[in-house]
Amino acid sequence: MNRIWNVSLQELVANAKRPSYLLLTFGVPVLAIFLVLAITLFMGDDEPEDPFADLPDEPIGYVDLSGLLGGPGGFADYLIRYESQAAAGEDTKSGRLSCYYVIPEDYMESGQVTRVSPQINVAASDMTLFKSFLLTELLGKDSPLLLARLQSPAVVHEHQLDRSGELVTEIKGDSFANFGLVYGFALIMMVTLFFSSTQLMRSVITEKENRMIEIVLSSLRPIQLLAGKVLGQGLAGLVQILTWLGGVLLLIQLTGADIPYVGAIELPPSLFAIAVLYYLGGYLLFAAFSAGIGAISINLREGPQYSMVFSLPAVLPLMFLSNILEAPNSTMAVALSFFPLSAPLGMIERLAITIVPGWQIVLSLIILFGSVGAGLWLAARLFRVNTLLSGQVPTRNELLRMLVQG
Amino acid sequence: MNSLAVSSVSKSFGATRAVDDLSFEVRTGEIFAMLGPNGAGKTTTIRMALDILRPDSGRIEILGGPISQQIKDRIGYLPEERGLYRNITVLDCLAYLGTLKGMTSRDAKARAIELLARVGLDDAMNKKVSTLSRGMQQKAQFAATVLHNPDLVIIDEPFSGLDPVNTLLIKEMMYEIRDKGQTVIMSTHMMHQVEEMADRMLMVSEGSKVLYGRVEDVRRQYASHAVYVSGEGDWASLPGVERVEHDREKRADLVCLAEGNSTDDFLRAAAMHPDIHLSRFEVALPSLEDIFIEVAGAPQSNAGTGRKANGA
Repeated sequence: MNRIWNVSLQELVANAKRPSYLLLTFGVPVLAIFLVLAITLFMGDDEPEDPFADLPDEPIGYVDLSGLLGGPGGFADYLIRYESQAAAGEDTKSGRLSCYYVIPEDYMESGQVTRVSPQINVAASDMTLFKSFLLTELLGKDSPLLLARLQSPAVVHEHQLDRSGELVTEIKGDSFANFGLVYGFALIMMVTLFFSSTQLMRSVITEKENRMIEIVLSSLRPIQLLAGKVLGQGLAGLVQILTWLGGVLLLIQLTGADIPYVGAIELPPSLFAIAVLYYLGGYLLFAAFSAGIGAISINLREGPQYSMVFSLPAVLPLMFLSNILEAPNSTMAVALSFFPLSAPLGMIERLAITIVPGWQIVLSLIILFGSVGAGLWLAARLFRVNTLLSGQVPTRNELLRMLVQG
Repeated sequence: MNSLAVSSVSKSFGATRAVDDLSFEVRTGEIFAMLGPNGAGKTTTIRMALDILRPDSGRIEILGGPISQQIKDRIGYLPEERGLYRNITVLDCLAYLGTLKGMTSRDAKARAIELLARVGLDDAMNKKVSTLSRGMQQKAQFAATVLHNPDLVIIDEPFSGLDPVNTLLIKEMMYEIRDKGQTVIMSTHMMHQVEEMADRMLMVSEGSKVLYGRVEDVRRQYASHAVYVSGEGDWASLPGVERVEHDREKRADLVCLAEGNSTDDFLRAAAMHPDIHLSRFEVALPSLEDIFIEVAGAPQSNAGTGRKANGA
């Protein structure tokens, strides 16, 4: 076990010294945090949801000729009522007001309002303020509920009929927020899985390219070398995903209230426990394939070409994410969450947006970990001395013989 | 006491019999040479001894017993196909290999620093392996092999690609290992190195033992019943002389003796002859290279006829 740990540690240290690993592990989250903070800062406020935050320092005047409006009330910090256009015009000219509005006598019929300011600004932030003031004045006193509905017409809770036609499942939280979260999580999971397993493959091939394999095999059994490398690259991947998730948490901590939709995310903690299981299963399955491919490859050029065989099915749930979001219990979505190569992403996507029956999760995990066992068994058959010391890629018949006979 | 005992070991790869009923022993504290043409089974035998490959039949005991992790930790192995991790520093590379032999990282680093200084690489220990010249890498590889102070060192082609200065350095270190009572097994094609360094040897051909024993004994066994002489007189006139050839390289005459005449008989006759003045007399021993060509170059059935050295 000590030797396995020595190999793992060496893999971990080798990764830690690799610029590409450092950049991906620490550079990407740092860059992401920096970009989000910069954007937040650029937006120029701590409370972007406050529609009046961008108002100029000077107040806004208004002249009510319709007789419908009272005093500024709750808007007194921003608005000043004037009795005549001349007075309002004088104060605007002197710079005491940023602008003023005139509500004509036939306002109720025409809906027309005049805005007077030193310069024309079609997207002026004071318009939102003034529209809100008008709504409050016109409806707020008599129909506060109607006002609330006009300001927030629909908070949608989506429900979906189960395939049985009886069970009604709610699509939890804000679907846009969940879509973003699922997409982000799937992306992080996929990138770290691919990076770790590709590094494992590179590491095995590098042993051969550096002509170290025979020296190492005089100290270790091939299975110890395989276990050490799988563990080491797994730890490197874990450090990576934890750093990324830590970065996301830090980002939420720093700017959570400011990021639209973050507050709308509703995911149960059990989902994260299941996600860990799927990540572990996914990594071990990819690692088994990568180690096997590394064992039969003789240089770094050809190894990644073979890896397409398992990487393409693995990204299918990402490619069909919108379909899965639309119908998380469709035949395709269920199939992708059962097929071992696509299950880690497929099931996580479904779990994030719908209630998946327990038996489906259990069955999917059994299939996944059963495949992990079979994959590691096959990888161990390829990870033998004769293959590792061979300077040639085995032919298809040789490969079949190795897999069948061991 | 033996460092390695190989008994009736055979190994096949498919239809090819790489090692065929091979038996030999390597004694503790000696430099033992394994010779043989390419594909003779030397590397397969070494790999079986190290448990990298498993024999089909036969028994191998190494450092007093069947191989185990503890015994592996007492062996240093430098194969013919050798390298170092190119993208890490020399010191880190050696330290890692030391930990695979059971050393702590700290001990491995301390010992690596000592050894790298010994082979003249103290300035390069913190450089990446990829920046080292081939000769420097070979010295670092040798340092990695003996880093854990192994009781048995097995080196395939120890001097391959080394310049004369580095050859001398590695040779000295191999002698030091032997002088400390540890054992060195070297597999090589460089016959003159075997003649110079090895105490005993094994020559294999087509997986079988063809020569085995003390190097001097093997050479004597293949002596061509002739002597090198220098001096004055007509060597052909002496009794028992079959023919005389001049060897320009040796700067002497090679006197081949007829069957039934010994070199002692020739020396006695030459000493007693009034017209013969002998200034040099040397029994003509063949070089290992000649023996190698004779044995390995000939078909297996002829090579061993009447001359197989099966005793130690």
